[in-house]
Amino acid sequence: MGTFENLLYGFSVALSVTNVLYCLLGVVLGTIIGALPGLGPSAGLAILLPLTFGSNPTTSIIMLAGIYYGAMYGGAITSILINTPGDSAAVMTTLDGYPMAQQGRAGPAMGMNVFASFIAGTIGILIFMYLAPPLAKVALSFGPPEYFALMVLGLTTLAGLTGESPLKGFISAVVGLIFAIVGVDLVTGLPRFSFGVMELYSGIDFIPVAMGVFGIAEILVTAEREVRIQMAKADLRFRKLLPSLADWMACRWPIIQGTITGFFIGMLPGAGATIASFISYGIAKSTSKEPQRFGRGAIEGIAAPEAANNSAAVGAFVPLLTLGVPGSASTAVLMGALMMFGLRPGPLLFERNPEFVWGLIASMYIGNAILVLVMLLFVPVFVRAVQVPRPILSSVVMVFILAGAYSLNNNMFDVWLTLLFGILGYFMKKLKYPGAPLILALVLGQLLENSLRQSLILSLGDPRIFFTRPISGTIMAIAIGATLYPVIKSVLKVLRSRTA
Amino acid sequence: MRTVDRATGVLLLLVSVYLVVSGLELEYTLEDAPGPGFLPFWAGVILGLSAIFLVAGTLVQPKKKMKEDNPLTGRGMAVIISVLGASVMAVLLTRILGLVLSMGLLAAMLVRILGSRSWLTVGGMALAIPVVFYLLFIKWLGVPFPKGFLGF
Repeated sequence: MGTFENLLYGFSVALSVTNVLYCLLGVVLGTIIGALPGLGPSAGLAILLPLTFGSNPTTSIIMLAGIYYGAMYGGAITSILINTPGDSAAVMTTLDGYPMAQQGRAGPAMGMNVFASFIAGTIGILIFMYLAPPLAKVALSFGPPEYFALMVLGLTTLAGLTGESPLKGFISAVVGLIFAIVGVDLVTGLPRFSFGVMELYSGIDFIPVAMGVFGIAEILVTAEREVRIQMAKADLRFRKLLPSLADWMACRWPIIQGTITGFFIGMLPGAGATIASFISYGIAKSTSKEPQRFGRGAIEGIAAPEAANNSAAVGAFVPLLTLGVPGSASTAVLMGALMMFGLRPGPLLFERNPEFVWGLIASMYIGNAILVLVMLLFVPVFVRAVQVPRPILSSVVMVFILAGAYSLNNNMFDVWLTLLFGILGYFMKKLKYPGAPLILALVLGQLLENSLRQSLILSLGDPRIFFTRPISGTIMAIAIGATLYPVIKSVLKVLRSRTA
Repeated sequence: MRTVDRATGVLLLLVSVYLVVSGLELEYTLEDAPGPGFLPFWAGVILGLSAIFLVAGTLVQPKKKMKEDNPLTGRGMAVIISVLGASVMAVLLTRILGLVLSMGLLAAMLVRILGSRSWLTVGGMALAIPVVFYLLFIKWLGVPFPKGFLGF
């Protein structure tokens, strides 16, 4: 079947009443979660994952994908109205979004966020549709050393790029790897670090960890400080949301630039939507005829990063679905969910589960269209959701997390585990250790160990196998470079500051 | 942050030693292939090296560049302990009240701890959460929540 026939088949799957309803539910909940300061797509996915229990894998992933890109749209709402980004990918939107709101142009700012996100998301899906299947075919020739190298690259780049200190990101990834080791070793049957606790024999599930590290930790951190929301006055009636012709003319190139930049940066392991939005904003500013307007309410300053972060969200599906290697915390949670549903992301997914892959792709188009309608018609409702007092929101999220943790395996052990990881996540946040590398390492840990073992069996214990094969060698070289670069940079910085 | 980073570094170093020793106790190799102890051993080595870098960073960094602010404040810790204490109590009470009611109780306690002054809000949470959870988890998702003395 050709790509177009596959897409039609996908629409026949995605357009069932159940799937459309789950998609709608996903995008609405995702938008609300994304709009809440502190809770981004990864937290949203982890917290809302229990809602998919009992559904079939295709329906579940359609809803989760809806939450994922809904959160991307929602993150901009608070950036524009209260100068506080809903998640890190919406940071750049605050620079021009809030000044626009102060100038009484919150409506067009919000409208441009929606349209730029929609256009970028739709073009991103189009690129994904044509790029992913051939890439999956190439990936079929990958062996264990290539997979090992890819996972190492994903972990090292994510560790190096998230948080303030690459070293702390790196430690977070190693700790995640240690948690992944817990449980019975699949080759020998020996329990490792289970301490006689029966529930730990099957390993530590990523869901309680993600719920604790992303969800509970955020509640605890915000509980410490008083959050007063000061919202810019905004007229958000439908007609006020539509950007003018001049706005469109100013934004046409930044949207296209943001879409392309975002997609390809989103594909890179570790980079993701946040970096895509930073780079895209930088390009838009440096190529503008009036760069001095940026930061003072230039609508292009919303169009470029919002297009980039939504396109990056689609681009992030490429390594996840074609290689089975997620490059970010959100896609790591999605991968964990897929594995929980009995699906193994990777090149064979396109051959073995076409209804799933193409149903998901078609649902992205549907989700994007639903998001435009929902955002344009119900923005005031989302704004009201953000204004719900923080104690109520935090309490609801907390009890939802604990009940969700129970429903994972119907046992209280997971609830205790979630609370424990909440405490760990709180200290990680306070001490500036990013949570994303820990989650990615936990999800990838077992696969990483398997591919490491298989590679060394192939080479009779010779570790040079990772460097002598062209693809794995290249990837490993990039991974080592990515690891050493921040170390060398910080050593040089320290030396310079001591001599100064 | 200097002192906290140093303390964390030492703690991580201890964990890394434990991992290296455990990795050697579990079989390191298995007929020319990595055994169950291989990954714990190397994870321990990498963690140990990272911990040394972390501590070394606090020693070589000029004092004025690294703030000595303590991220763990007394007021903050009091709120955290209250939130976690209420959560632990609610989870323990699940055996008696069932999960639906204990989560309602937890929501009411949390909303008060986190700063709501209105008893109407507290009461509303105590009532609304059990109803929503009963409909969402038990009726819609079919999750068999632990039941309490009231039978749900």
